[in-house]
Amino acid sequence: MKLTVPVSHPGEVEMLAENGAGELFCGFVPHVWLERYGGAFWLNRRGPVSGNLARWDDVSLLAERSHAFGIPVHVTFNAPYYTPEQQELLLPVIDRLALESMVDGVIVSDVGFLLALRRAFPELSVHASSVMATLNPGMVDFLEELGVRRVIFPRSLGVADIAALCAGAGGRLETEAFVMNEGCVFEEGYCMTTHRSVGALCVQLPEVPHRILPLAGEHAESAAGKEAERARELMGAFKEWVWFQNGCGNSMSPGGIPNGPCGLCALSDLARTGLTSLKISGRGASSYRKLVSLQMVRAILDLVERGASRDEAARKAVALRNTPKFCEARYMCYYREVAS
Amino acid sequence: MLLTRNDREAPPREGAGRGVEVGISFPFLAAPPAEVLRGEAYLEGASHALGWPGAEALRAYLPGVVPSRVYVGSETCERLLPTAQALGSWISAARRGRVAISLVLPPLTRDGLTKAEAAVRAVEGVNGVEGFEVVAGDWGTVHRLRSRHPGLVIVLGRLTHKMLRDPRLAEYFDSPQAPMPARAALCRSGELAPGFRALMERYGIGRREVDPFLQPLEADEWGNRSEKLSVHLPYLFVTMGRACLLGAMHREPDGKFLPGAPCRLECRKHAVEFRLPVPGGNGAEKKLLSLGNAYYHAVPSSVTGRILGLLPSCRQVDRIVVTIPESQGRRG
Repeated sequence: MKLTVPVSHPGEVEMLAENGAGELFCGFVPHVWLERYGGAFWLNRRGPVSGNLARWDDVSLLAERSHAFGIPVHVTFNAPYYTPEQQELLLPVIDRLALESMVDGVIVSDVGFLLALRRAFPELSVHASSVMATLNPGMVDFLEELGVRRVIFPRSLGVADIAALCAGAGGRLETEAFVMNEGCVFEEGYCMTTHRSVGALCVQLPEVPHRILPLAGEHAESAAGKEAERARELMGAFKEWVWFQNGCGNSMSPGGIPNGPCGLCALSDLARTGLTSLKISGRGASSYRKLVSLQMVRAILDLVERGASRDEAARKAVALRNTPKFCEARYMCYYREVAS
Repeated sequence: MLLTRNDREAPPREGAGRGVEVGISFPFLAAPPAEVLRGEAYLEGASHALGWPGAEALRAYLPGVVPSRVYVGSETCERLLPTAQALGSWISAARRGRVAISLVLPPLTRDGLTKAEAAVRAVEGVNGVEGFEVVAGDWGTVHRLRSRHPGLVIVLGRLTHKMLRDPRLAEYFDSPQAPMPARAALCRSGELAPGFRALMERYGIGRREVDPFLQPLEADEWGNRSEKLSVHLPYLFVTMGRACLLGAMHREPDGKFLPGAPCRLECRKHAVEFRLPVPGGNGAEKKLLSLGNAYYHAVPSSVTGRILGLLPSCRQVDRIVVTIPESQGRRG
């Protein structure tokens, strides 16, 4: 399995390449987009500045350096949708990225835009973003028919579903799943909220006033009585889960290890699914966080590929994290159903 | 044909319903209320159950209308997918009341897709089912159903309609202070772009569902389409997760919030209401309702009024879908 790693500056390429990155992905927000939309409409899943490149020369340099290591680069155009005018604006941008900056492909979420891309640039590699929420084999077939090269599975899928969808893809499509960093409490492909200005809704929810409502008369009493305590417990657990999913209040532990969603101890299981690639997310993270994340995944994957047992690899993963209480809580796991 | 209390075959746009069909959705009921399947429930009764300020405007706009279509299933949770057997019996009952059935599908996993196909096959095995349709929540389901069931009527569910629906901010973009291009972009989707149009044609989609958006949609979004539109009231879909908040209520801590985990169908008993502060709103709040594994916002009367005001001039919109979250059927 390859490791697909975020990059946000040409200066990060060598560091990531030397530490085992198999592919890179980045974001690019051209000046013309910012001029027209400001920060109100994000071109991709990150704000206009954080984690995005802004200069054509930087993208070209990043691609040149990556290619020197034999590493392909894909650029994210994965807003949930683009209006017709935005699509007209972006198609020439992508053309230039492919022809002049020599990037290898793009990552998209809007199915209509995907079709437009395939028509305009039939040779361009297109990856279907996790925002497309590929949950079933029908979606794999759909994307294959539309000429997608790779499908990136959403975070909500477990290992068994990933394995089944990989088998269904049957080599027709490459496949990718998340392994480190950046959780999403909701199903990203069906979340119609914005993090812009007001922050993530999921982070806000446990902190705002709420009440449990009975949906039917017969349940009114139970909601106010014996189930009230359960409801209180539920909201406490919800707050805890959201905290873990969003980086545990600090994106790094005191020991310099990335906090937040992690699938390290599931690597043995993931290695048997037939996945083409594992994704480390976090374009907006510091270079240090990107590097440590990559080193951790690389270390455990190397162990698995050298034949370590499932338990041995999992023990090593937990030891490497060195936050046993976080691991025990299990709310930080991408693949909790197989987590050790 | 539009069903009304006084004239059960009033043609659309000439009868009491003004040409707008009303569908009624019970996502959390084990079975639709018998009186609704028999075509004996009135919109007045059903919408009273909502306690929603816009219901009065809807009743005034559509006096005496009887829901002519019943939606079964949940748009967000495949655990609420009806069995093939249950669906078959509801269709039989609805046929006697001349009420059509829409099977609502959430974004499906591979298991859910298998179950959904079984349900569709069961309906196809029943003779003389008129007006049956499937409301699909993802393109994979559309693809699978179209390739295996070419005659099936497939409607695109509102979850596939990608637009901002954040009740904290959507109205802000209606403000003249927002940058014009951003404002325009946030009041329309990508569905009028050639790529999306081609997909609609390729998959033979004749109807799509839309939300009661807080931000006013550009006129093109309503009118410049080949497909018909169904608009939901009163709940704006905001977000969903495959890990269910209420479904975690009776799980042990390490089993809570697991996507697709077993539950006790707590969604049929409870909802959670959150009160979100409006940014810069001097203490103003917006309510967010957690229903099952999804979150909704009941739109204010002004939005209902805007949508109803649009209907006479926009013939593409010929159906209103009213969701009743209560798990007990109400008599009309």
